[in-house]
Amino acid sequence: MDGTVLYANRAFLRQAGRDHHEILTLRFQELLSPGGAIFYETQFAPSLLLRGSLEEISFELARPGGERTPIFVNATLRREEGDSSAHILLAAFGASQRRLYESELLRARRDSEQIGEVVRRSSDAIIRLSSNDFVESWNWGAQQIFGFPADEAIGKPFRSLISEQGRTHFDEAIEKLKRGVEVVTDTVGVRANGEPVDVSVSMTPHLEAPGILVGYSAIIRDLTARKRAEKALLQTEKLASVGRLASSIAHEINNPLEAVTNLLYILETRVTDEALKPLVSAAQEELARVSQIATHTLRFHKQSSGRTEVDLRTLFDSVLGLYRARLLNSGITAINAAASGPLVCYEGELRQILVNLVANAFDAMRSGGKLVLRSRDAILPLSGRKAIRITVADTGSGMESAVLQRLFEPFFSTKGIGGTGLGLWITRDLVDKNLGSIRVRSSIHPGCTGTVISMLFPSQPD
Amino acid sequence: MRAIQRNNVKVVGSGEQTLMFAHGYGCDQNMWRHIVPAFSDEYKVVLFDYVGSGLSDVSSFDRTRYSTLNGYALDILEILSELDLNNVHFVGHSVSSMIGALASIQEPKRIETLTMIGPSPCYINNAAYHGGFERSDIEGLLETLESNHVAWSATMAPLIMGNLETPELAAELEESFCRMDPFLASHFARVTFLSDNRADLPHVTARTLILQCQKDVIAGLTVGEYVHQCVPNSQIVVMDATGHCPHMSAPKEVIQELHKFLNPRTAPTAHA
Repeated sequence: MDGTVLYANRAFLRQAGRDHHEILTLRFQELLSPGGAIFYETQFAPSLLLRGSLEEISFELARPGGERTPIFVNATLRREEGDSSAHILLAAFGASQRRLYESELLRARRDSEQIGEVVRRSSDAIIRLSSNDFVESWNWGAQQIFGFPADEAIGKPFRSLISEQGRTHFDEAIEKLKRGVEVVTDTVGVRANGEPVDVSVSMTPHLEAPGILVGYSAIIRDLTARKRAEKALLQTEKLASVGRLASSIAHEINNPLEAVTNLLYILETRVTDEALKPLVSAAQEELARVSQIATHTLRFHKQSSGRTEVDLRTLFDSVLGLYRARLLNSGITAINAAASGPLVCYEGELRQILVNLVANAFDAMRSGGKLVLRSRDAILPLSGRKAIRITVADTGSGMESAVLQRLFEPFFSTKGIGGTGLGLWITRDLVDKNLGSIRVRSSIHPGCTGTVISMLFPSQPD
Repeated sequence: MRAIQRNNVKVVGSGEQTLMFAHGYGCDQNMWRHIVPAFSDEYKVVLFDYVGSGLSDVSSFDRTRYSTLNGYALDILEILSELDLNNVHFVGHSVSSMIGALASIQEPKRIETLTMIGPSPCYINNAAYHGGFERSDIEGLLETLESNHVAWSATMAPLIMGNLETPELAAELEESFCRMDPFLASHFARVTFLSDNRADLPHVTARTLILQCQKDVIAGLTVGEYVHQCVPNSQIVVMDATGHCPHMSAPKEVIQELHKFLNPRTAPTAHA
């Protein structure tokens, strides 16, 4: 019962590569490979003792020369009458061919498990569908895109995952699949919670002779992020072209403007009527403002090729100048509180940052208020390097925390049709580009509403 | 799920003291069937299956929790806590010796004595330590498991279904002897044979009996001696029984040694 060999026939001796005398000194587990011996002791023997017989268990005989002979073993426990001990009868069959076949099967299974793992964990939805359009398999990506877990999704008709407008396309697609043609299309899917989701679907038909569709597979990619990026690109491109247009207009205006300025100058010297003189000088003043706006518009668009030292007081003045009339009309007091040294940065970009922020502040103070542009010398908290803090503070309506959280998302706007939702998104991008950081604090408590946007830039970026 | 259902816990017999039997790798609580009757008159006897073995709840398997023997030790402590048992006499076969040792280190009050049948803290040879196997041997075991995957699940499952003439539950359960989920068997084999718990042995404070067999290819005499030297309060008995499962092949001797150890004053003659 402990495995000691009591008798072995000639066929077994041949399999084991041992002679008759030698084998009677050994135990069966000593004839096995070490791994097989562990299996024998821990699983085979206890089960055999409890169950009385075992069939088709695979082992490897370790021949004295080192080679291995795969065998299958059938085993029966034979108890003698009135004796608690028992004998084990083993029948061993050579299994080389079958073992080869099995190891081939195992290898194939392992391969397919690996591929299966890739499919299961892909972030694209990879699903199998029956020929009559029912979901048969569902991976992790599919769950992420559509929000259904596998057990809910399997058995659903695929068309229920496609929005109304996509379904007509879908019927055409099925017709193509039936002819064995692959279909790649962009459409709108429906998530578990009913939300639409932009997806690209590529469907591959699986045909069997004689050309019958037995099923198809679909790889579905979530396009939300891509669509959003495309939209953002389009908008910025639009804005840029508006900017280019504005600057070319400003450029064109400059020449006649100069001519009018000169003409007014001549006129001023020739006017003798004292009553007319103030009118001429008023016209000159207004014209000076027109030319200032034109110059600023030009400068605004001009791409600065390198970082320059920017005097913040001058910059603040020029930005506020752009809004002077509007600020005045709305009863907003604008204060230039620049009190820092110069900042080395891309001037055009810093100008755009400030213009965006001042525009927002203006929109928040429709019924008047105070706008302060401030600059202070500061220290970068981590490196201890010199820095400049620029704050744009308003006493406007302030923002709720839900708005604050989404402030820098592209296309997030509280301004309805008038807003692109890109201003702050671009602003943050520009701040990043100038190695700065931006923080927003806002209060909607009655009596102290307002928003403070605070930015920190290194004064001398490397 | 409670540990009692998860680990298919069975409590038989009655007595003031409790004996807990823990099966080793490759089988289930049925391997104690020749031992239990000898104790159920005097002791409350607790039997259970590790998750993945016998009739345990396979869905409770958690790869991370059971990636070390500590996860299995936690199962034991959870069972004892649910049954509200302390000062238990724990009898573990093979890998369960180490699982019991880990449980007793974590909560000494739960386990008063440890009996280790064929223990090994580390199966792999390691410098001067001779565990008996090379890593490649364990790989060989995993291969054998794999090539027996189909045969083993076939042997285990259909028999339960096949016994239609004896529809009683008991008969069906008998047919599930040493049932192991084939996937979890290979996991348990890895944990069992690739773990190294030598460093834990000196922390065992429970009174410990090591039952060592002759010609045990899984845990040889030198390994038993090693455990004896490392566990402070231990004694070793080298039995006449051979192989790795004396409680199945020579239950009488095991019962006798257990009585001697648990009840040193009265036992030997009464049950010899």
